[in-house]
Amino acid sequence: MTGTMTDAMTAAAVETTLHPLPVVVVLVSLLAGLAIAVLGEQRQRLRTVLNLSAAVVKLALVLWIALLVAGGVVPEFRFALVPGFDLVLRADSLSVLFASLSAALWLVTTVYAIAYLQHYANRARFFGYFSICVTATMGIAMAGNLLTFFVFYELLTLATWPLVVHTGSRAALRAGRTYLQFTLGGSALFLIGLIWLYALAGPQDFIAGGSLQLLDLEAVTSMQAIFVLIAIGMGVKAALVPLHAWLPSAMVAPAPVSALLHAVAVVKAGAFGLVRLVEDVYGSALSGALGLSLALAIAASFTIVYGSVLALLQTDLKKRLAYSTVSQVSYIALGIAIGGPLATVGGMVHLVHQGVMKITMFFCAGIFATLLGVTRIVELDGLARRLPWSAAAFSVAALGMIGLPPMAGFVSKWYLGSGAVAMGQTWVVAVLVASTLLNAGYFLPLIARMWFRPAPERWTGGAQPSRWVVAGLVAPALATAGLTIAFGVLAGSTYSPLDWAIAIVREYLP
Amino acid sequence: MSIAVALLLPLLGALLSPFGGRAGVWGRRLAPIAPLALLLPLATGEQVRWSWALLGLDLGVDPWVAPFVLLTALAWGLAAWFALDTVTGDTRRFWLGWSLSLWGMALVLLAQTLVAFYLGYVVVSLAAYMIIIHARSDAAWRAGRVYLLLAFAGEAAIVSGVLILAGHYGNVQLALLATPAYAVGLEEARWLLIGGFAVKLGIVPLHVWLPLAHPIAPVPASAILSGVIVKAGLLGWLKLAPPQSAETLAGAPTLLALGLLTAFTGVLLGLTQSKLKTVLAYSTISQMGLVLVGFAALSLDPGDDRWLAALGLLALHHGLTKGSLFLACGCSPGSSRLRMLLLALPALSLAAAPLATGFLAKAWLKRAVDAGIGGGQLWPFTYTLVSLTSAATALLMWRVWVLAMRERDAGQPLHPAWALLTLAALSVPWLWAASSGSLIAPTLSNVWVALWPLLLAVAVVLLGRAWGRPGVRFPEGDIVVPLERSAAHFGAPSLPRAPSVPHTAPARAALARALAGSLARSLAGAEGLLRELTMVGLLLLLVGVLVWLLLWLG
Repeated sequence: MTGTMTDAMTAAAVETTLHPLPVVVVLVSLLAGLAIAVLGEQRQRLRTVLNLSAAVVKLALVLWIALLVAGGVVPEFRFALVPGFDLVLRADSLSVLFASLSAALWLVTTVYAIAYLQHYANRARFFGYFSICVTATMGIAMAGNLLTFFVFYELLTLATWPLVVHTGSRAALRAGRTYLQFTLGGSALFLIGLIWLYALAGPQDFIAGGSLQLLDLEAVTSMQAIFVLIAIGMGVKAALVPLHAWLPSAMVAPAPVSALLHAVAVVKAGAFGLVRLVEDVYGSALSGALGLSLALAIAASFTIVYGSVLALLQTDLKKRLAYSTVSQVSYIALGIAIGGPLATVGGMVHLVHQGVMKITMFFCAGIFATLLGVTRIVELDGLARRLPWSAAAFSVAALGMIGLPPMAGFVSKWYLGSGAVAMGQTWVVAVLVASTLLNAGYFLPLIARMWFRPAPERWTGGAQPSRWVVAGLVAPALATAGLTIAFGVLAGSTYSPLDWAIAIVREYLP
Repeated sequence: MSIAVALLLPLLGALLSPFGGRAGVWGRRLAPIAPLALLLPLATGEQVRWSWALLGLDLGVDPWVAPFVLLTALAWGLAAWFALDTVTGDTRRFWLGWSLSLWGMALVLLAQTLVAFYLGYVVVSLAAYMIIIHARSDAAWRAGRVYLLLAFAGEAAIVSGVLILAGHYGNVQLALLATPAYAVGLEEARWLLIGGFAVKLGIVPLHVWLPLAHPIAPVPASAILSGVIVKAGLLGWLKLAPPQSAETLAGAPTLLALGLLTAFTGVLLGLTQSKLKTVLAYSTISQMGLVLVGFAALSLDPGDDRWLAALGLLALHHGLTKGSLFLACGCSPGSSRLRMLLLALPALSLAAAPLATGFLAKAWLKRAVDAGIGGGQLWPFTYTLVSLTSAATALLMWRVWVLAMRERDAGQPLHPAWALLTLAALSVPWLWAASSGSLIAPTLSNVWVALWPLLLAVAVVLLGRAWGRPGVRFPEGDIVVPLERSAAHFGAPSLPRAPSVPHTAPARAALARALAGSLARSLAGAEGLLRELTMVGLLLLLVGVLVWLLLWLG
């Protein structure tokens, strides 16, 4: 498994250098977003060009950063908000993992969204906030301390709300309200935890292995309480049960938004925050010693099973996918909570793997709804006859979700399960197997319906859009389905997400 | 290179088959050739290590796997030829499933690391579903449903075992698992794996998918399911849960008993069946019981490589013979003398008639059992029971003969693939034994040992004619029928079922249904409450107080 990149990273001493790249990569999307908002509704062609070029530029910048980081350089940019409190943007290897996922999926989602929203109103508003969202996600990826993380985390909350309620329907507004209640409530707890932590330990940057030390036994309870407060703040976005209820109701949003919410932006930001909290603030050793890891592992396990059971009960396609997200994102928290090199790799690599798999499924759900008017599971019968490519993409992603080789999901499951066994926590295998069976129970019937059941006489509805629009919808789904296979099949090769995650964990657990 | 070709051909076939037009035709044409490509790595002895692929795939043919490779190449290739000429209907999905199954099987054969084997096994398990449900009839949906449920039950056990192995040794070289150093603390994984793979082999009581799936699948599909794919389970046992030479597997006696139980149960249930292919399916179950007996014997005497070779020979003999018998079902075996002969010879061979390949395989099995039970002091009747399984199989083959003679549709042509596979079944195991130095001379005592069970079977048949057969009838799939009924009470899982299955629900069933429904409803209700932030806050507070109380008390 030792790729050249991994060797380079361990060989060269990691050095932090002042560098504008982390700021530039955040600003690119912000400027694009503002420009799009200023351009207004009518300048459609210019908007499309701006959208796509911003996404491409950003992807290129992130790749540049990745090359720097692989070479052992950590670009950093910091300035003092007020004396003593720095806003730090820094690209370490974990940042690159999340940033490259965001940048890549943002590009495909932009293509998809342009095609999907052909007949929607207020597209300037939509794409404006869409870009601000990616700004926030980039900021979260590059945040170098908890304060910076918090700032961008809040920006994300606010920038996502207009996307959720975009259609302006009653259901959308209600979902938006639920979303705000949960996320702002979580943020409040996060803020309390943050202030308490700064009062206790002072402002500190994220450091591999954690910056906190247990100074005296008096502080144990406070440190546990702070962890719980911040973990709840993250847990709301990561949809840990019982904080998950906003996610299924946010399904009323347009398909590209759902895809984004579930794969990269909101849910993933929460999960990424949990990773930072455990690995970079407390450190996995301290989290374990304080009993926090076990608590998190139990919460994640419960979420995994609960989400899957509820997914099984849904009859609406997007709802089923939403509960599946609730379940799958907790794999990340579970891996971090188990600790040890293998499980941590499993958790981190699932950040990427769950992203590409779930975004594929939401792309396809959107395609089914737009082109054929199919939203409920029973209506999927024989769908592969009409939309074979989308059905194939969906099936690949679903098999990956179940964790079957050679898809990406298998690699995550392998590392999580074997890592848990290696840490002596064999009970986790039971959770993973239960999740596998439940996933099979709610995804295989969909695949079987699409491919093997007879098609209806005629499809209930849907538009007949132009060829270009159909291509714009299907190509992103095929691209991410291709990534789902590639990340699994090529897991052992250099620069695969797995290879990168292994390199990260080498830094954390030398 | 040879390995890449052997793996790429079936994959290419699978990728091309779903397309219409020229691409689809080419995909299909690859089907009879692709299995033969497996002979290349056998001939070259190539080993490859693809560390970039998945988590590292090491591939190559271990010497003891050679008979399995030979079996797959011959049986699968000839069955594909048969299928090209006979299978109609939704051929695109059929050939996709067919080629994918072959790809998975090839990986299972060539795998030398844990991940490679697991990948192949998963692929072959899922792809087989596509050929089982080919008919798309009610019965086919039902067979597919039962198959998938059992396959995933097995999968749960297998993935648990695989993850435990991986936790200890990573993506381990499978050959290492057979060495004593790798036995530490893995009893649970070993049992999980043995149980999981037993599903594929159809060990009682996990056998119920075979008698449903084999009769409903197209004839050539049944041939490879019964002849080749079930052997993936045996390969799973031997590769992932091999008997180590350090210590005798504690459960070996249990496995031996289970094997004998399966061998006789398969025959008894099969005798009550009235469809030719169902009888053959039960015969496979019975024969896989013998395979389990051989595996148990190997566990009791793990030092001796001859018993491993004996299992390979048994698999080669059974696979070719059963494949030929299944192909016979598509050629109206009762319609001419030649066809009767082509049916009778493999049937006799399966019953281990002297000089047939079954005689050879059975003789080796008996030697293994004899060595395993240490001359018979521990289990005095075991050896005799193993001999009696030949008599039982002979009875079942009589049933096959009777049913086959009713199929006299002269319009059905005699497909050359059937004749060739029969010839292979009668000769290849002997050739293999000759080349690997495991011939058994047909001395008088050897012949007599094989002959008396047959004479016993003849006597039973004659007596049965005099007294009349007992009129017992078991439904296909035996115990699955009451299980399905009770499952229907609780709202069976939502795998696709035929729309026309009528539901008659008595009052008790309605009550059970209502209970299950109310459980789902209350879960949904609780979920609705969680949508209110205040409820969530209260809940968190409650949990916090509870935890704090626990800490304070503790």
